[in-house]
Amino acid sequence: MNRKIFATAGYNTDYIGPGRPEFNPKKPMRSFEDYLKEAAEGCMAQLQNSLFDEGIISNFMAARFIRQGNLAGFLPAVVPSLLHKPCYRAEGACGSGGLALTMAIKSILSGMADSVYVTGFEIQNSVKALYGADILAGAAYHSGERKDGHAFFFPGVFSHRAGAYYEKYGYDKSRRGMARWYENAILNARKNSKAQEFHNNKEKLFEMAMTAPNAKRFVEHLNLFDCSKVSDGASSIVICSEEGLKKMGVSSSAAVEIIGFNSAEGNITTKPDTLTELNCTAYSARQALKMAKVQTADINVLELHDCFSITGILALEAIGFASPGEGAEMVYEGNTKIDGELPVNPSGGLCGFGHPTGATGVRQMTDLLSQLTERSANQISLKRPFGLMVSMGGNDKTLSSLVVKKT
Amino acid sequence: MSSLSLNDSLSNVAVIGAAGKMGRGIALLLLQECISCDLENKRVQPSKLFLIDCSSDGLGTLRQYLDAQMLRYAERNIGLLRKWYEQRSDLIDNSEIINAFINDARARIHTTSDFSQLSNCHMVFEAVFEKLELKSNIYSELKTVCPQDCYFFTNTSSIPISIINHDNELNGRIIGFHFYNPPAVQKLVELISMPENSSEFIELSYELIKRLGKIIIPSNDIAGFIGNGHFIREGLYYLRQAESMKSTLEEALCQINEITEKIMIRPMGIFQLIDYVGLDVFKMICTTMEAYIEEDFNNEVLDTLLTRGVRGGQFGNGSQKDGFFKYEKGRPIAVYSITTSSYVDFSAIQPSECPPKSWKELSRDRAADSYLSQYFDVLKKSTDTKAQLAVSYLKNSRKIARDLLENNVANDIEHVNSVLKNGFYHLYGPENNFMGSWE
Repeated sequence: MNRKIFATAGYNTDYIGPGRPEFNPKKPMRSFEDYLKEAAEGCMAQLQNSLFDEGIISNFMAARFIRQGNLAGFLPAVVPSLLHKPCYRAEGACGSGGLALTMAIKSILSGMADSVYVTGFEIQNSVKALYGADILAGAAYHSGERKDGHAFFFPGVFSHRAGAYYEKYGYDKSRRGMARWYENAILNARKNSKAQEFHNNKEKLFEMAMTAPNAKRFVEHLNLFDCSKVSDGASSIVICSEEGLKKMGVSSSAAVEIIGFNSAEGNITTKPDTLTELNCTAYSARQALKMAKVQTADINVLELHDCFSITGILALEAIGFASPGEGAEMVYEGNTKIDGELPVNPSGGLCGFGHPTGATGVRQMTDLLSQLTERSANQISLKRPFGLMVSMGGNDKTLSSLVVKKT
Repeated sequence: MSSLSLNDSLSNVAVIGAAGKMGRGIALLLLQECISCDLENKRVQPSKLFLIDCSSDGLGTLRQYLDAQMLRYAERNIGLLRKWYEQRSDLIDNSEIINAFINDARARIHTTSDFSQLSNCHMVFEAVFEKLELKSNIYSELKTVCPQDCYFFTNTSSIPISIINHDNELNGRIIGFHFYNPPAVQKLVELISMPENSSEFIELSYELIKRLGKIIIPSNDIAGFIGNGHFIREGLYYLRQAESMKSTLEEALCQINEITEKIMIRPMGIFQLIDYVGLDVFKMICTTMEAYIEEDFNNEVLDTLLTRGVRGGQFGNGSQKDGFFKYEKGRPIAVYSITTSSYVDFSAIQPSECPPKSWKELSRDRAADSYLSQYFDVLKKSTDTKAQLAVSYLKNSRKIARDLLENNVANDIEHVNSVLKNGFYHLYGPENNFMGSWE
């Protein structure tokens, strides 16, 4: 890279949806403007000067969930210094946030900007989950896949993958890995007051998540504990150069350096070659690691896109943290717990923190930042200075991977 | 007699009194069954559901109710709907499929006040007000309009169906369904048959109730059947108990209500239940039973309250009207005093005692039976006045149940237990092991 890239001043709002005590679908809910405002103010409060050259807003389906398009126009509304600056909207389904980050990096690398304000949000609770499923199904090939899909669509898509995984590697082994994934997600979320599952005080999380999937009640190979939640929320962060840090008055110790990144797109019209593999994830993450000249063994904290527990396990295998078929066991044995060898999703991940689709990628970077600057409420013990995030949209289609280093 | 299968019979059905409280629930259940039967069997001709009521306003409200309820049904059964509409390539999203389903359901509904449209009807469900004369008038008309092999289902909680059968010369083409209120939610249906019913008719009725997702309890054709046979007698027993107590009537009503709810661990106390049903409805059933059974179904307190306009029952929005008690947010807060013709605050009478475990708690408790077993033992040995009263009340309830068996209303004591448990949400039947040794 021709210049150093940093991420700083990350901020997450509360992620709200079923599970949060303040969530009540029958009452008026917090507006998206309010989420965006909080995210902007939370970010800017960490800067001496909120001077940005560009703004990017990531979102998946506001046009359908809240009938709002032209989202870039909301950036100057919440960040006054963005008035008359170039502002863009990034959309790559659940991978929108990851795309926004790599777009921002490219602006910095191009020399056109020294600091880019990046925010992501989604409002999903404006419709019942049943109709939300129709909207979210747009992350796949709608005219090619929706008709034959499950009523809830994406749980059906990843249920197929889970089923193939059970068949190849054995149900019991897979299930207990997935159950541990859920347990870790909730235990981590309990340390994160902003997480949707923060108030989840159920005992026997692992035992609960061992419940055999029941096609009559949900989908064939997943239970509800395997799934991320329907969430509203926003996250924000600043991507900048060294000059950008100086202009904003931020010390490099309050930032992480982005030393490798990649965005890779799969063909949305084709089905996966092998259901137990995430090929695009594998490609993107490995490219980012290669660019950063970092080995998987060097990574100390991982942010994975666990829209479903099985997705997280498949990603571990795809990136090379576990051999094919060993991901579930790796998780079951505790390696990805907060005090394990490779803590994964220490703020709860999509299963624990929540998954406001357009915000998630930005949230992942915000959480890597807080871990590597050792300011997290659920702080890992930092033995190696590297972190990796993988953002995914659709069924392994829109991938962005970023490697960060402690400054 | 008709030899149509249930599926074929469902192609042309009617509900009389469809805008009423019971009628609309039955209409909803039948609409769900008609349309799912059409879609499941890929029938080209949509089934017809005639919804008849004398109130045209009521029919308008009924359509809105059915729309709203069918939407809920569609949302709950979206997986099934997607399967039913899999051949419709134009319907892709859940929202599109649900809209199509609601429209298809609407297309099956024919609201009218005109009986002449029932000339091809296979099954007619009648759920008009429980008055023999009214019912008889309807059947005399239906008989002339409907086909010779049409089956009639009367929703009644007390009127013997053999009387309607005989008065209108229906030759056994009528059977009794006692749906509990609200029919769409309550799981229990008492099926009242008589010797004149053909075995095909009875079988068809069983199959239908089962399809509607209900628990069927057979009852013999004796006024009140099992459900009201127990409830009315119990209600009258407690009214008479209240009158004979030394305390004031208001105190007695409160005390008995408290014992029947809290100490007997039932969902609500007996007088609250009568308020829920409606004092007028309760009285009407008493009158019906009195007409066919040699037993005293009169009560002066009940009659006095009714003459003072105290009726209970529910408002249109489902909230409770005042009866024995005055209600606030669904909970009784004061009791009617006959002496002053006004409601007296509960707190002026007695403080409420803390129950051991409430019905609500216990109804979710898987170990409820073992709790009840111990609880009944404690109750039996207790010297507390209320506990002793509860013991005598439980024995009375059991006696009523045994009499229902004795008098051939129920064929099996378990049928009585099942009605009390599934229709009245009791946690235990009147004949139970917990009080096995009580004499």
